Amino acid sequence: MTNHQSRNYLGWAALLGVAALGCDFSVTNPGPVEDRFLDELTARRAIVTGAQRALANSIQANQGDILYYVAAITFELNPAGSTGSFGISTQVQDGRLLEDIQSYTWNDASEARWVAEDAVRRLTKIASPEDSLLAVANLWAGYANRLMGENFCNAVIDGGPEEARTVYFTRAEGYFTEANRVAGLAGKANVASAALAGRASARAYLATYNSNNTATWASAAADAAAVTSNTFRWVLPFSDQAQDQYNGLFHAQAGQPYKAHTQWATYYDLYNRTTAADTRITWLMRLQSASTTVATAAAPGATSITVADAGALGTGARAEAWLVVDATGTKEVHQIASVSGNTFTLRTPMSSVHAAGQTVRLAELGDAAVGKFGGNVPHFPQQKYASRTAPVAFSSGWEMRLLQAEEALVRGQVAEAVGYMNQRRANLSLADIPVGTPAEAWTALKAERALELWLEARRLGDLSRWDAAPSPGTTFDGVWRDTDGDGTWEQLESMTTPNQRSLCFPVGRGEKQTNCHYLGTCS
Amino acid sequence: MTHHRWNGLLSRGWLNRLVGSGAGAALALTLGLAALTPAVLRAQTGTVQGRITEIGAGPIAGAQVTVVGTNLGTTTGEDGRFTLLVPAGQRTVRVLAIGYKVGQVQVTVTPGGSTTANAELTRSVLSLDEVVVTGTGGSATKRELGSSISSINIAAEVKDPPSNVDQMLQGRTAGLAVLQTGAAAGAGAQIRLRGVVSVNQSNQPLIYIDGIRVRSEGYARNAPTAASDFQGRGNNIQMSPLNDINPADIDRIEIIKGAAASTLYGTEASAGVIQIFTRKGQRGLRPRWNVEADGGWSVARPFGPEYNQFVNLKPRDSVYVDPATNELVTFEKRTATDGQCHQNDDLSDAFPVPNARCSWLRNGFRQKYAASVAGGFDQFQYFVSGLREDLDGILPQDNEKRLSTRGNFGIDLSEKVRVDINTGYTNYRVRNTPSGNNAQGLILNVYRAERNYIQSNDAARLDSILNQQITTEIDRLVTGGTVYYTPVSWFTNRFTLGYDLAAQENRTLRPFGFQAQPLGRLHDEQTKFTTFTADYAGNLDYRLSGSLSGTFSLGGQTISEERIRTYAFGRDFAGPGEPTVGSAASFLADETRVRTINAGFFFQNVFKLSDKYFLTGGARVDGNSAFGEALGLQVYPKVALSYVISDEGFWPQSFGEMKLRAAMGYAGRAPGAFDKLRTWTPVATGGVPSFLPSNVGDTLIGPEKTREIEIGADAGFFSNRLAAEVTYYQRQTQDALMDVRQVPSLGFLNDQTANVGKIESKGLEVTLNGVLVDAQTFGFELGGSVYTNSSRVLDLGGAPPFEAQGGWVQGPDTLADGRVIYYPVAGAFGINIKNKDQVATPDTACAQGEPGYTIDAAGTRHETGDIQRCDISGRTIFGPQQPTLILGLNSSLRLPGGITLSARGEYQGGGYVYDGASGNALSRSVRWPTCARAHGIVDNYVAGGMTTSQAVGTASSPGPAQLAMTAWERHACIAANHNFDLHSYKADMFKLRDLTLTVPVGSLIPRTESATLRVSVQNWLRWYHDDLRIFDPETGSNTSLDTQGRSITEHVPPPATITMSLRLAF
Repeated sequence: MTNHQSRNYLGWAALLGVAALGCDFSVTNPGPVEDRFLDELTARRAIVTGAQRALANSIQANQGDILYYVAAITFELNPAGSTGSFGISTQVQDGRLLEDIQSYTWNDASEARWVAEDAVRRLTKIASPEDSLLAVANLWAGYANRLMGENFCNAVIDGGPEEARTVYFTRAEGYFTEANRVAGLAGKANVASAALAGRASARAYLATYNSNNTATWASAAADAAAVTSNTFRWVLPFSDQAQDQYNGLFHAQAGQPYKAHTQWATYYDLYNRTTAADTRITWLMRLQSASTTVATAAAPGATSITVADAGALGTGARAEAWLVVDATGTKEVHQIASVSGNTFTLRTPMSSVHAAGQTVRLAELGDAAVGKFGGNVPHFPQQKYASRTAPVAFSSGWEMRLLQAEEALVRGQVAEAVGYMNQRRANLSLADIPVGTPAEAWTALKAERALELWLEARRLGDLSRWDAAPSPGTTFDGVWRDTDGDGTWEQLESMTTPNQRSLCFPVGRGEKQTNCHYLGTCS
Repeated sequence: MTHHRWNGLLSRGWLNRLVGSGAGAALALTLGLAALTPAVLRAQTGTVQGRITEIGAGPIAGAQVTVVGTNLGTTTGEDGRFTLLVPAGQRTVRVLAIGYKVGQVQVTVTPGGSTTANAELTRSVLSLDEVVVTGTGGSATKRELGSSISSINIAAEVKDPPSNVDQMLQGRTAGLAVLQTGAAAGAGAQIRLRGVVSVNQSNQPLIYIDGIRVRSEGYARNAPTAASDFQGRGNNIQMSPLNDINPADIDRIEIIKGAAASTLYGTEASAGVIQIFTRKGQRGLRPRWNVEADGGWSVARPFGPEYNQFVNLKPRDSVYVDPATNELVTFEKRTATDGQCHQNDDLSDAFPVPNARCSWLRNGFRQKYAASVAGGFDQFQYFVSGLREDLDGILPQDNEKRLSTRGNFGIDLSEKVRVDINTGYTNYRVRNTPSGNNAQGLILNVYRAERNYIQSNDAARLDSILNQQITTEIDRLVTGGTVYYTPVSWFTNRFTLGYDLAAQENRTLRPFGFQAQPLGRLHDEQTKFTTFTADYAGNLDYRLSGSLSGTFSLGGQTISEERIRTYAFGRDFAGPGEPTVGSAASFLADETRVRTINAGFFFQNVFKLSDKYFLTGGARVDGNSAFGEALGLQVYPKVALSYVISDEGFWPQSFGEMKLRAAMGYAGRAPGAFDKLRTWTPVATGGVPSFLPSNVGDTLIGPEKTREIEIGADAGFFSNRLAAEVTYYQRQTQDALMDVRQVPSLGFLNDQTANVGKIESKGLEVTLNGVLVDAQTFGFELGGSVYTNSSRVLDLGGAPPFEAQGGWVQGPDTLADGRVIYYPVAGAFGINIKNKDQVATPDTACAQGEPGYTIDAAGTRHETGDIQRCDISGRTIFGPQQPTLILGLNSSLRLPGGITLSARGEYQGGGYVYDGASGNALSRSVRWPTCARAHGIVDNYVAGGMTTSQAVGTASSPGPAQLAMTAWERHACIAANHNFDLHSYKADMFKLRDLTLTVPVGSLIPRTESATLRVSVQNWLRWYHDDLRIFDPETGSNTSLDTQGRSITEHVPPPATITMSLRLAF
């Protein structure tokens, strides 16, 4: 009996065993870090580096990053293929920055701003008042706010209501001021200079949006003048460590496998062909290695060219391919309309004489066809960022000279303004800008800023503020194409022709669909 | 010679792997236990032997013979005979065979004596006495169950198991949707039971093998991760753990479709449970061998328009558009047999590619060899099997090699204690062709032809893509044991311990010299997924009065799961050769470790009155390591009623049998391990540590709770020659876990999993199976099933609408006129062009609540009978992604000579699939087959002297070419107008899943018990809705099996297979 009972107990014992095993739900899962650990003093370096990383993600994230899309919308580069991964959406190609497609842009920029400001909040609590990391945290918070002010149409702070974009510049001014103060205490001269440079640019925006308010311009110019070194640069670094830390604008064209954008047919393409080399604007004319030669000399206006051996160019020598004829000093790039034996009919006429014996090659193409250009286009990649680690400048001494020039133009001092601009041109061994009318000086200034700040996510901010506070002169933008099929190029598109292109990124749809102020559900 | 053969076997890598993996240890343990079994456990026994036959017909093979009140049982052989050693005394022998009424024989067993127990069974397609164990505390007959549990007896119903379990389940039972995800080697299937149960959590049902909880989520996709700089560039398929099981090892499958029956499985069981029972040995049976050899091919079936049936993967015809009519004309039929490779259009004919690959598809050769032996003594039974499989896919690099072994052993330690030890081991090696949305994949680049990422349709350059090596290797060990202890006939105990180890290695290599990354890349990811199960269930039978009895069950279970993943990525190798990650110039590594524990206990009581009224009540109480602090344990109750009305006196005998049933139960799904915490992600930034926001956190998070109600009836008519099963179900998930979007300006961008809202799923399941003709030499059986499912969001708890799992989740809208509009759960959405085929401006506006309509090519408007549902962006919500109607049809024709011809077909309708491959291509100006006419129209205008821009114009100012296009072409085929939201299509389809001819050839092969030759064709015959212009709804994408989303990326649809098999039993 006892034995029998003990067997009965076996089942219950097993049940209790299972229950005992199951009562302990405590597990330790490594990986993510709980928020409270960030309030420890030892975490502060990682917090500030996080602010830097978030800002890098904001301008270089894979989809809809600000650096790339600002370049695309302002014709700093042209699409060369992919519209998805690493590419430029058809809407942006068309000049539209839409709240749904650009939601990523808004999200990443908002995260960068919030993370940097959160870093300031935490370090203010846990770090010493002269901690250089606190100065850097303030600096990133200033740049994150400036980036949003330059590029977004409106501001939303921490789930609050929509406000004017100048709110960002006001906040940036505050963070730059604090960065400058703490950097001074910490003895970090370069951080202090960056803070002054950042504040100068923020004040320039505030001045412009306030109808070229001369008092604010004066304070901007004072900050700029305090950054005396023309070679000073404050850059946002990128890393080769992992793809999400690469300079994305470079990687999108690196042929691994994307060749998503090109300098072909941009205004900068024309500028570089017609102007002595300006090293601020550099790109490569990538050509295939196979070559042949011109068999029969071609005159300007010719719409076909006969080569010695079309077959030597390989199977790529077909309609829609791009032929590059190597004239002395100038390479001509023409799309092939048709092939017949060794004769290529071209879609655009020759513009100069091409003697027999000149080299003929095919251009390398972008990674996919571009709808607006009707097919594949030559891949002439920019070289400002020539590696995955190439940093992006946020402030520089030369930018300060241009700020001083602009402030002088606001005051009507053309000669003084041209003087500031020519400092940079002399540095580059370029011809001086002559002192002319105010409009000519403004045109020059707008061009100089376009060239100096090329591909630095600043162009849209400039165009936008100049649009808000009109000034004389013309802007420097556009894409060059044959508009009427007559074989010659006319400027088909600019920021205003045939349609007004977006001058700022909208607040993202994600914000509008979650923020109670937009939904009208705030209690 | 023998010695040499063993050496050869031992030298093979698979045996070393078997021993090294732990499977060998488990096998040794099993055999050791077997050796300890006493030679004779009991002296006071006698032999019961008998023969089971069908009334007026021959023997019944595979019938289950059990002795009531004991653990003793066996199955009959091909001759219908069985032998059992049974303790002396009065005994009831119970006989159960699928397709027959249960039989019982009373016998008196004398010590050392021999008793005969023959039984003649009556055919019956309704099996109320069939025993199931899934969803109950112990085993129960179907007549007791208030819920619907489907069981598939492999020997009786499947006969010719296909090569994987996914395919075996297709179209088998109402309420089950099996959605294949492509042709790539190893690609698994989404399995959904009664539609969508969760927005945020996995919708794959739980899987148990022989009572052991095993992995049910899909394996990690072999696709390098974000940091590796070739993210997603792998095979982009997901393999299913279900397919590690050798179908030939399976005895039967029991399927619980929802919470009404899965309550006792608690948290995580709301998407249903699939229990697989593998084959066992048989008492008193000499070794019975089954040997099988299969050979065949997988063959690609067309999935493009007539002039480009394989979307550039095979030679395509040349087409142009007649300028006079704007009609598409095919002018040159291409074949690959003319000595020239004509992959390009006419433009490229000037540059034929000699000796190049003319087709990227092949007929993949498939071979399979399997053997098993089953037998046993009175106290020890065994089943041992082995499988070797080598399957080539239709893509150039696709291959699957599988080695699978199983050892199932049963030991009767005494009359009251039985131990079952079951161990299965599989080594699965898959090699894949780079595919999916992979910019360096073969399929994507061939599909996009000259506008691909290598800007060329040159076959030699495309061929170089195949220098990549994408391999996946899985070692899977599922082992465990169950102790059955029956101290007295009215008290049974079952204790199970189980261990599931799934070790996976994903390896993707772009070797030195690879075209886009000349220095090479290597990604290696190793994942170890383990599940430990400890499970107890006790059953106590009692009698309260003469006709009122009951069974009380009590049990508990703990499931501990751990996933350890490490990956390494290296880039830039010094030169050619087989690299390791460490040989790269720079490398990265990462690690993930997640452990979850789920445990709980249950109790259940079944009252049984007169063996025709059954009332079941019970509950499960659960805890989970991922629950929030404030929630503690969760309680999931259940109640069920069953009434065998045909046992009533008033029921006319001629009406047949009928059972009415109703059930209600709860189950749940637990949130993720980190969901309750506010966390930051530590990441290296240029070698410096940094923090980025990760998860906002919700300390109150708990499991979502699913309540399911089902009512139904099981009936047998015409002397049980026609069985019918009807079930209506309604399921509500409360506190549904959803991805709640965060306010971006507050810094945390990741969605937070939170308990918000309520979703509903409901529908009808009808199954009919009939024996229409049952003559001595001729018979015809016909069966079918209807399954409907409708899901909608009842409440979103104030959370903003969001995209999830490829669909749109939005709460109900109340219109100005008071009508409430509900949305499907994760509904397919997009731009609805109502006049798709009309040459006119696209009509795309969505008018909330207005009648839906279409406009045909002639401009005539047709009401659809539905209303328009619009999301907050003005896009149309078309409907659910999962099918809303599935029809299954199966038939079996028995001919003289024992020849049978069986067929199984399946229709799926009502769902939508997103064709991302078309969207991706058309947004990039690729000349895509569905836009051939539009491209031709533009070509004609360009040939006439216009530029492309002039011919096309803009959306607001269309050029002449655009004006000649249909509304759909204007939106889809002009890159500047293109929108990715255009490509949601109806996914209605029919497939003849299986057509099999079986011919007995036993008389031709001496010394065999039986031999059959089978020829089987699967998925050859297909039909799709015209709306889906190319591809097959089962083409598959980069998305997970565990989601409900359905989309297509650059994959190839599932092929047809043709298999011949020879099976011998001796």
